[in-house]
Amino acid sequence: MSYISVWKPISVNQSNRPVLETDEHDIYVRDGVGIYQGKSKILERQDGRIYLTNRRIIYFDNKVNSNSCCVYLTEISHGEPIGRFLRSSPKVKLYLRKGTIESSNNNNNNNNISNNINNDNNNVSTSSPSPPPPLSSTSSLSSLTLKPTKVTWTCQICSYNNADYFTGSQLDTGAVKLKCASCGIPPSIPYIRRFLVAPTQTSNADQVTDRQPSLEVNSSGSSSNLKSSKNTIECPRCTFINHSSLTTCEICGSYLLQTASLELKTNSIVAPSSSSQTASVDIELEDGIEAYTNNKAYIKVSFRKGGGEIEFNNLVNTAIEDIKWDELTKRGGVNENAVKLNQQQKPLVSTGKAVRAGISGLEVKNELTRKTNEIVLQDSLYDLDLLMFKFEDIMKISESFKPLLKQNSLVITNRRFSTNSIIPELNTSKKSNIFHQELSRHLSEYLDSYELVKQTSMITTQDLFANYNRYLTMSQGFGTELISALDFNKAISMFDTLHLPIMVKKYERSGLLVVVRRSEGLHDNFIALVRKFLALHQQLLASNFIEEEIADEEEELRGGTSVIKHARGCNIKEISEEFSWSYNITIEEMERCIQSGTVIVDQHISGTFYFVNDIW
Amino acid sequence: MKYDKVFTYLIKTTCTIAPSMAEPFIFPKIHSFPPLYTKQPNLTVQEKQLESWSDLILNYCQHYRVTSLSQAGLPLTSQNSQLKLDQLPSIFENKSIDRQVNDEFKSIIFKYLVNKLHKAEYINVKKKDEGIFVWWKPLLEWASCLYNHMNDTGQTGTVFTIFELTSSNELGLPESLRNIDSSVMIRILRSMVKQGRTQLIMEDGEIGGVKFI
Repeated sequence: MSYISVWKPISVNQSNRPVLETDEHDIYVRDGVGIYQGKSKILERQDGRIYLTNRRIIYFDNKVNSNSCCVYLTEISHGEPIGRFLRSSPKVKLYLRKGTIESSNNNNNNNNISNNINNDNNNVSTSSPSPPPPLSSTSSLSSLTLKPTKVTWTCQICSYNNADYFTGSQLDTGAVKLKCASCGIPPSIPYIRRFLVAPTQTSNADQVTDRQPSLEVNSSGSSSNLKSSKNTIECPRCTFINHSSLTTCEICGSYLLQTASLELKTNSIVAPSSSSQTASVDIELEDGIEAYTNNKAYIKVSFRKGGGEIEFNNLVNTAIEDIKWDELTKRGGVNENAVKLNQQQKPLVSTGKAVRAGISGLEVKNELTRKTNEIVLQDSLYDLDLLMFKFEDIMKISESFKPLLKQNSLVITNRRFSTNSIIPELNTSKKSNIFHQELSRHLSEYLDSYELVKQTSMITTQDLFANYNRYLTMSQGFGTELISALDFNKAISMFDTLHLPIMVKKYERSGLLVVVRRSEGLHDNFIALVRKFLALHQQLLASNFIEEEIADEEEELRGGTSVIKHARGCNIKEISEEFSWSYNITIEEMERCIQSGTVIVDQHISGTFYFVNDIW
Repeated sequence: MKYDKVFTYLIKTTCTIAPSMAEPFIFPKIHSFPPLYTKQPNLTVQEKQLESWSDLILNYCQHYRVTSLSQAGLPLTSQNSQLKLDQLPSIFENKSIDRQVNDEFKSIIFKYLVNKLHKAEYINVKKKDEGIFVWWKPLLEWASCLYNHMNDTGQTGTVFTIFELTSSNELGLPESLRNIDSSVMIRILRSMVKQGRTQLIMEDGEIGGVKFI
């Protein structure tokens, strides 16, 4: 069975960085990385960068962008670092979660919907049992018994649905003592065993029927019903077939929406941005065959430049844990606003001195709990009051800052910060050796979306430095670490080597460094562009003034009906705005224009104006 | 509508011009073009700009028959005695567009007129700020005009004073030669001496009389 399908294509932006999904952010980046499928190298994917985000592990090829691919963290169960050994570089082994692959393959298949529901119900949490590949049912069973599984079982006495984590072997050895959470009666082991095995082998129709006696509602032919209508959801607990718009089962009241949404989620994860990309990447292995040690599917990330494997591994594992936790909170499995009270409670209970027996003892106990409750409630209300006061204070302060803030936000909108999409922030640590490359790419992204808005746009490096740092504080708050001039200069010098769509241009005369878009021949054309703009401007003014002139006959006859007479040139500011250059760039460019003789100057006490040279 | 206005304007202007005054000089369009007043940094453009200025000055002077200009560009002398020189429109200033030529650029323009075009001369080569003679009619032409007139009227061989040649009207000089400023006349006569057409009779280091040969 092939696990190559875990690799998904990614989209790449102009600045040679992967395009992240919404809410996705970089955690870790490293250069000089190759990837393996099992034991063998994946061809043409041996020199790249690895990006760890909170959703994916992205391999970004340094040579061919289209070779880049990613693995969703949901497909990975855990990572394991492998140290350097002789000539082999340190690696991180990432074990795949087998079940997800299988279910993704079957997702389109209607027959399996009921299985999927069962599966999903069971595998939402930690490691999920996979529908066993037909060849090796024994091995799958053994793997089943190895990991603790969430098993939902119904109490035979009170028919309460219990959920517990345990393995088959634990059950046999009596390592787990099961007890109904509702009535406290322990179930019989053979009865539980049924639940342990049943969900794993549900691909068999027999097993489904096997399960039915244990459930209260006998829904024979439910699977056929499912086949016929997609708009129904079978309750995972009682198998009652509910209407799709219901969130809870009509009979037993267990959640339905989760299973449905979960299924949707897995679907969306399997095929990201469905239409534009084909869901698979063509991957060739060096050895031609997929082979795994210990019969567990895994991929490997090799750190050619050495080091970092432990850090990467830790980050991957925490990222996976985070995803699990998120999933759990989404399911409502976490008691969100719960507060630990044991510290307060315990001493109070223990100070209940000699716990008396009998009715008086119970009364004392009751009294104590009531008191603790009272204290807790009082405390919390008092805290709440304090919080409200603080809140009012803060509101007052923020009110006093309002005038300042407003001005600022105006400036920002003027500076077109608010217009475009937000660039994902840079999350590489300054110590890492890829930092300058990443900074360079990030700068390019920033320029692309904010500064170089026009084809003709230019910005001096000084302005860019200031604006970029300002942008960092704007987008990431005041705690952000700013970029130092040294780092900035290094990043800027890398534009060429990284083949970014921008370049640095130097004005020979003043030594002014500007950043421009990389485009052929455009920069020699500036003179012509400026000329065109000035001419247009003059025409516009002239046509305006001719109308005025007609009204003002004195003027008209003294100076003759001249167009030139009223022409007013453009000043630096107007030209800068037109081409979105900073002023010193415009001055520089205008000097070039004057040098070439296409533009003439008018210096006056009110400013310097530029005209097209039509006369001389 | 527009023509009505033009018409009324024409009536107004013709009435306001004193009969003694000549037609006002109509400045070319370029006189209202702001960059004209700034020295252009580009040298080839500047050359052409100076040409424009020279043309303007020569036309202006010819129109008002101004023969010399001060360093500031104000007319010093004119053949037209009825002109009020201080009321003539200034060449180097255009009040309607609020522009004027600075002193540095003025001297550059004069230098160009004198050295490049040879259409002007410094009144005093050692003291350039005294102004220039503007030869809108070349010096030689002036000389030949004067000589031809003397020759035609049979006044060769007679001795004249400078005053007679410039201020009195007894010689029957044509309109174009009348009322030439004495300093200008001396320049003309000096050039004729070189051609051997006149003799200057010196008195105490000054010209006492002139004899056309």
